[in-house]
Amino acid sequence: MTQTLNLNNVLIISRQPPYSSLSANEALDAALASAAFGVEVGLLLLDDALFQLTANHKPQTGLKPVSGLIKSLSLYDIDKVFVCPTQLSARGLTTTDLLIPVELVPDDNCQPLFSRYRHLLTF
Amino acid sequence: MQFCVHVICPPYSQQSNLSALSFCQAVVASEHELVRVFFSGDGVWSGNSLMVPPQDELNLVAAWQALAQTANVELVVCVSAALRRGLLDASEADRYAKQHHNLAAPFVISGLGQLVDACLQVDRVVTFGSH
Repeated sequence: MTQTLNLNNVLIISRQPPYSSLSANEALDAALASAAFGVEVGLLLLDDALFQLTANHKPQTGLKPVSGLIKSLSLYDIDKVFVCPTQLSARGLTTTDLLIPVELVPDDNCQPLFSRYRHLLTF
Repeated sequence: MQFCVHVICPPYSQQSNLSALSFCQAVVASEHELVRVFFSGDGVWSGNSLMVPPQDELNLVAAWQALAQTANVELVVCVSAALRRGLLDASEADRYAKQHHNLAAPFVISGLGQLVDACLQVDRVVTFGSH
């Protein structure tokens, strides 16, 4: 705790797929808002949240593709996006299917990642 | 230690909202300080002044109000989540030409910046999530 208290950073953890609820949008909004306030942001996508990163979404009329928010992450200097390799392969995905570059973290060992951030915000 | 509590879960339909309230009550009863409760997602319904539960059941909006009044805790509702769901205060109702407003005092509508600000200020942010 004493080690992380001086840090000005936050890890946003998103666990929901893009369109079944507003959760994905709200997590990404929180990431962008944090970055806009000068906070260093990491984004960890777990479980079906990985589908937020895939290309060519065509949601029903009235829903906005989440890809716009995903592509805008780099404009806000959010370039630390973490995913777990076994969760990717469990969904038939590889990193080449994803819209943006990601860092791979072992899914049985997220603790070192968590300890690098002052706060974790889970959506 | 200073805390911020982030509530995403709706009142009544999920246990998590009551758990969040109980956690907040425990913090203010302790030597620790609860700086702010930030409501987003379906959690914004916690501030619905039109909630009328049966008289022999817990009134969650009244319980949140009591927490704010007794412990001087800020209750902040995310503006985009609130407007989208039809939870308005008087000035938002005026802005969007709606005849009614339904946000209970002392809840206030503000932006995600209030959550970010809390992250910079407090020692712990505790999220009560939705499923």
